[in-house]
Amino acid sequence: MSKPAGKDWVGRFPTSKSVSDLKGSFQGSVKKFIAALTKAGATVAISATYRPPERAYLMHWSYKIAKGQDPAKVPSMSGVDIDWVLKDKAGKPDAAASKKAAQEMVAAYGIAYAPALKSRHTEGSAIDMTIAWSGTLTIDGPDGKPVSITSSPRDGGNKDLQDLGARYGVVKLKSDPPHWSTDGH
Amino acid sequence: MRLWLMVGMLSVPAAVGHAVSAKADPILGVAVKHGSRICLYLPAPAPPQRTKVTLVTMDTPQTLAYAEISRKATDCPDTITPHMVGFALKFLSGELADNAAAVTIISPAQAKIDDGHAVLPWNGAVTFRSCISADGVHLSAWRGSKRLWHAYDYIGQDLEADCTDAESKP
Repeated sequence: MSKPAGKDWVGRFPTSKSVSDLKGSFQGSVKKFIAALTKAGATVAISATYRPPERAYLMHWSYKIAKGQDPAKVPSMSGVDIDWVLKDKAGKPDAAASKKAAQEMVAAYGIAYAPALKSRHTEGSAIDMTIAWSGTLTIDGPDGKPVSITSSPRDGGNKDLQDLGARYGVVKLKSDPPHWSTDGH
Repeated sequence: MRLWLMVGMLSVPAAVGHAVSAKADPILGVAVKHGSRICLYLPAPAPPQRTKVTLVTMDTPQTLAYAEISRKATDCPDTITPHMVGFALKFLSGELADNAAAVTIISPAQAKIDDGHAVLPWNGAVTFRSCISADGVHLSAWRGSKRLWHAYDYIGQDLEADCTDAESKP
């Protein structure tokens, strides 16, 4: 039985910060890259790994409905038994209540900008992490040979580190400082 | 796409805070509202408390609002690139939408609204843009086609990206 839209949905399908929730070979690539960074003395703070598609669906469509989308025309998603169309006491669709429920979800999610329905995060092929170090970073490459990084900045924006990450199969997305993925998207 | 990015300009009346030289270049930063708390991120050195801030909402059309710095804040989330110092910001008039990223400026010059856009007189007309990338919002200041300043706020959600390379490059 479906459950009506509302902020009770927001706690379901949480974003993971665990590398173990990444998919396929990317998980192993990230584990090796982070292990090398940690061994070299860098700090790594993970903000997000896998974002369930169910969460993206709920965020995307609650935002759309809050902005005027007809809730009756929202496609369903397997595994998310939400009823976007709230009913009045007579059992008829209540557009105002449906929109209000969606707005409550938007507020509870903390949405200020239009959420995407799909991403590398929903595929389990992206990680958001903040990397930092001081001095020279001497880090093992995937071949076991050490690489010394003396350039700046001493964080994930470092081009030499990004080149090394790519060798591990962890590719930097230029536009978003914490974001690394399988292909730089 | 509705954006409520804020551009703050420290207008410095003689009676408030420390005077900023009339020839001083603007110092740009970022402001973000988290519920009842508004965090203002500025590069060092720290401005004095109660410095008045002129704010420009980056919605369409952009509008002006006003605030003042209340204190240094250690509890502001570290989501801004480049890293800046956090301050609590108290609104005097106008407001910022929840969870919206923001920009701030320190300048003796006054921003004005011209045809729906904030314009700061700074060796010519400086305007402000915002755009969305995969996980965050980019704020930038422009003189014509030249980008003068850029900052990024990590939202931590999958977003519908609309940035150009020029707007989002580090």
